[in-house]
Amino acid sequence: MRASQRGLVEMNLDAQYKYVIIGNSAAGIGCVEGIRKVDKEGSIAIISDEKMHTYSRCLTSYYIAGVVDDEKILFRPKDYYAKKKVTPILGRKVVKIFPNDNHVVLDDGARIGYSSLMIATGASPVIYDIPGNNKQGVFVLRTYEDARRISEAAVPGKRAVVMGGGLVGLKAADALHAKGVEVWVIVTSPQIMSQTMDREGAEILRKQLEENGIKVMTETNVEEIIGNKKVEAVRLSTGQTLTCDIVIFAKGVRPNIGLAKDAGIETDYGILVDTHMKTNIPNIYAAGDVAEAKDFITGERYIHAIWPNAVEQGCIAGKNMAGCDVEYAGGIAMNSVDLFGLASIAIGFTRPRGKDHGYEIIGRSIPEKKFYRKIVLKDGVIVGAICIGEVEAAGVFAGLIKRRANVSKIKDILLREDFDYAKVLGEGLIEDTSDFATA
Amino acid sequence: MKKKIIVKLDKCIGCRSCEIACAREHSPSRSGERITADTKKALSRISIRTGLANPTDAPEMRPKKGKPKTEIVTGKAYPIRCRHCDDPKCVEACMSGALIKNEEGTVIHDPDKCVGCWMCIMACPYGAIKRDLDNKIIVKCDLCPQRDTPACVEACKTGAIVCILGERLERENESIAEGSG
Ligand SMILES: Cc1cc2nc3c(=O)[nH]c(=O)nc-3n(C[C@H](O)[C@H](O)[C@H](O)COP(=O)(O)OP(=O)(O)OC[C@H]3O[C@@H](n4cnc5c(N)ncnc54)[C@H](O)[C@@H]3O)c2cc1C
Ligand code: SF4
Ligand code: SF4
Repeated sequence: MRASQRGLVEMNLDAQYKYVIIGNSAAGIGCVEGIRKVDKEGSIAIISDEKMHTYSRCLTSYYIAGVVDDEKILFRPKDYYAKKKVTPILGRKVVKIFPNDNHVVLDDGARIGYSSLMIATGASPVIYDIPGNNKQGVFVLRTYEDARRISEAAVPGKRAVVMGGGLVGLKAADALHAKGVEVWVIVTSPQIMSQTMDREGAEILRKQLEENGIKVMTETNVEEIIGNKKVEAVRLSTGQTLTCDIVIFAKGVRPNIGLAKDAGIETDYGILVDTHMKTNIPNIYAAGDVAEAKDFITGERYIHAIWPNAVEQGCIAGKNMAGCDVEYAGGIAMNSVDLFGLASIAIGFTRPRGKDHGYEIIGRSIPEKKFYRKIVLKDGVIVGAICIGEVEAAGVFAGLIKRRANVSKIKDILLREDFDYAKVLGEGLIEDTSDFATA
Repeated sequence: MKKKIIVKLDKCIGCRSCEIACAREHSPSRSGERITADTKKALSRISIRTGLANPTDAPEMRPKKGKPKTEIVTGKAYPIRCRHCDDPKCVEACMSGALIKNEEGTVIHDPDKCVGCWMCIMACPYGAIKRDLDNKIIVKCDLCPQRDTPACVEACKTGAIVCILGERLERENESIAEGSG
């Protein structure tokens, strides 16, 4: 590290740091925390093209709904950078990475040197190529600025079409509805939440949405956005037109790999990283929505674009950057949504299809309580779980998945409404000595 | 002050004194007399839950057919509570910053920042977090920062929940650290 720092001085950089992090969100902040667990002093710079302090994009829909404000949207306190001894470089975009001589260049021409670099540039929403997609009133929801713009447009009495029934689409729909906007959710697949939820669960959630006034249309596409300059209506694949003032594209995201690709860092759909979150270049790491990292269940590389994964990956990368040897066990898909007071959590592999052999599915549903639970097992080990209504046990399932615990002998107990960690202890399912002692 | 709660599993007899003490400590009035009036708001952060007497006692679950049996077969009692993990999964998952691990090592929750997304519930492998449905936030153990001995520990008459404090904990942590290199 010394040698490379000496090299950097000779290059006459504007600034140099031991650690440079591109991205000021979940993975970037996770990285700061990982580094600081190991190295209390090493200089850190965090760069983001957004001006905001550490705001949480998961809270953008709550911002639209008016549940959080400019202060509460921050997921770390105002004095965070000072306390963690981090230099924030906000409102500046990284335009190029020079991996051979360890520096990055910003949009104002500044050259920032590093000993190790973290790329946590996240992902961007996809705007599909349909006529009218550039009209006034068309939005995506990813950044604070997006949320601010939508919030301005979301006036009671307006009508909105949300394209996409995933987490972002449903959260946007929920927020718009809370603002008094009439909302249609248009989904291409036969169900909402098609990435994480099974058919039966999705049906319960759809009912919940509709009972509360949000209209859902599945197996439908928006084919055109109609209007002069402004959005006036959308034409659907059913031939129908829906009058509306707001259209939101929430049909998926694409990892921001441009910088890495240009620098010769190995990419596929995302930036390819090993189990230490390292790219093919030894002192460059990547984490979060931009990184294709190990999947816990399949062992193959995959992107689970969710907050907890981004934080964990960032933290592991940070520890490794600071000289530790920490391995990533792999990511698991997991999602939690509360729709009008109905909680739902889906973890892991929840939808084995006909062609997937060797899975065992157990489930239980109590419609009058809106209780639904489904567990997917492979060789006695849980690989997926859905909890709707009663969600307190969800984390216990996540824990059992990660421990690859064999639950064969208590399969039925898993479906009980009162299933909890005591049942796991009671059946001696796993060895848990942490914080426990015998008399 | 740094503290840590240790549970001696064999000693818990399921009397639930700790639950009541915790609920009282975290109730607005913090008084024994008004606990019943307060109960809506006074949620215990520790739960005494039971294993099953015998796994074969578990009612047959017949999904989608007939009425499922809901009778509870009780077995050994276990205190379920937050362990203030070294790498807390709940903090990692909290997308609002409501949960943080403070300098004393306690995982604390800021109800003002909580939006009730239940991401932490999804992540905690011990099921140690509860939902406060009236306020749409979570509640969890805070190790009673306002007192030396946490309320549950004080209430436990069998010594099933014990607390290690300050220096002793430092020493113990050091020996653990040395032991693991
Ligand atoms: C509305 C919404 C709701 C969501 N809700 C949930 C939820 O409930 N649960 C959940 O698990 N996940 C949720 N997510 C997903 C979650 O937000 C992401 O998984 C997470 O933010 C990924 O973090 P990240 O750090 O990898 O990337 P991002 O959060 O995308 O951050 C990328 C960072 O890089 C910066 N950046 C990018 N390119 C450059 C550049 N060239 N130069 C400088 N800076 C750059 C950006 O400004 C930003 O700071 C939601 C997402 C959205 C949009
Ligand atoms: S709530 Fe759960 S994950 Fe969080 S610190 Fe406590 S035991 Fe650990
Ligand atoms: S429910 Fe509250 S504490 Fe839990 S993750 Fe969400 S915001 Fe954080």
